[in-house]
Amino acid sequence: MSPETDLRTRLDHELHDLPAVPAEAYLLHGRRVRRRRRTFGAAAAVSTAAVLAAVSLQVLSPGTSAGEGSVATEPTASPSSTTSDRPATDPDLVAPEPNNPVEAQDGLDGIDSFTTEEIPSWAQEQGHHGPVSLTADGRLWVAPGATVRRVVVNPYGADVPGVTASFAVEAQCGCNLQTMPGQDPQPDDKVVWVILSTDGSGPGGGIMDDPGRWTDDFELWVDDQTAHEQGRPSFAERLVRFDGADLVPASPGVEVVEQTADTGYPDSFASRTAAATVTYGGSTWYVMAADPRGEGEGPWYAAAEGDTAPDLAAYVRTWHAR
Amino acid sequence: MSTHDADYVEFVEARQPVLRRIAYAVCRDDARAEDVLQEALVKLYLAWPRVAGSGREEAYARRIIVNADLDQRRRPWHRHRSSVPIDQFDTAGRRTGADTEDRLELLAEVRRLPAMQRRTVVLRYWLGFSVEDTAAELSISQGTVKSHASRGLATLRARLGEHLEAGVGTT
Repeated sequence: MSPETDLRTRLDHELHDLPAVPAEAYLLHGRRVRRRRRTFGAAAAVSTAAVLAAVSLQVLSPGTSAGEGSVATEPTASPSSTTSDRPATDPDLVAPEPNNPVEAQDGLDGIDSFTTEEIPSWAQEQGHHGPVSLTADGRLWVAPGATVRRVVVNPYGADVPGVTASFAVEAQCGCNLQTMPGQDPQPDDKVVWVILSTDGSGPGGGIMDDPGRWTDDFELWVDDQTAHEQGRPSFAERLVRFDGADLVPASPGVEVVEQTADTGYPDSFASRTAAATVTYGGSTWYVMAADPRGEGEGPWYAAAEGDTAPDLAAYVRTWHAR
Repeated sequence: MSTHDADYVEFVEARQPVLRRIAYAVCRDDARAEDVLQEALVKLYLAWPRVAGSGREEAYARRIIVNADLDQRRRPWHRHRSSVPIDQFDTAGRRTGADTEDRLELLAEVRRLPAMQRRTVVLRYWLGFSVEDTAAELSISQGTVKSHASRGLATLRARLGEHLEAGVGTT
């Protein structure tokens, strides 16, 4: 037992050797949060495409207004979010071309959406459901208790065959998410990113992801998620590519700062692997790349924001902690 | 880096240790403390044009910390955000040693207190806030401060089974 009896002295003693975090990590996070913040006025002014898409959806589905209980929730603005906090020098990151530079709008304004008291059978699978789903006729269903924060209307654009309607949604989930055996139960207030599409023949399907898994940038995530269907390389593939055993920039403006072949993967796994720190558009990214043996599909690449790890070696270690 | 950002980084480098200690003292666990600290420093960054140079920078961040939801269960997706994972912290700063459990006994008991008692105990008896300043920091009455602080202190004494002086340096 510690000899100290004074509360202040004892707490000083017990709290004196806490771990440290580089100050730049908080700076980077603050910049990203500032970059993501939108006012309604700014969102409407910037996203001409999104406004046109929202209008067209209303025309296709007349009479489906808020009278059906559509949930139009606005994200709660932080008390510190004012126009004086708008970024002065940091533009939004636009991914290397060929890209899909979508603009998200706040809330459901202008979107043909609705909610229900009960969970429709078509919106759930084995008793599980997400915060949103998509009807065959392109209407966005919002789960009771879910809050839609941001939406990208028609993220796949007009050129993907078989897609008649699509949405990308950032939502706070009032839902029952499926868990894998051994996985912790998903909390009801979980925030998720969802991308949905339908070909008009039935309810839409899609992808759900955790914000921040590799990027905090919702619009960048949408760009990356829509790449395959649009016949474009992924975001990571636009950063680097293999040239022999080395990683080299795959797009103008990308710089490989450092790289290593010491990725911890055995030779039996891949003919070549590499990890790198790269910069693009004022941002820093880590990339892991591998060319697996025997699969015949060529190398794969994955990227993550530079503040997901303090250095490249730590980033590489995260791959083996999964 | 802009002057705005450089000033912010300089502030965080200088005051992060103090703010982190406050977060660790008032939050229910280390993970929540890191989340709360990050939230506070991000909000400070957003408010930096208004706060920088006023002398209120630390107070601004501290108030966010002590008024946060101290016990919120950490959402899994936060682990993938820019919070640096615990195992990647500066290892020189990790708490180690055979007497770690003993050394952290008081902190563990403080963390077991209900959130408002924890806030008042930390502000009053560790940071040395007056009753008036504690009330202002938490937006509660002075009577409420006294009530929570005394009950928190009594609980700590009972659980630790020893004579525990509050050691309040100011009134």
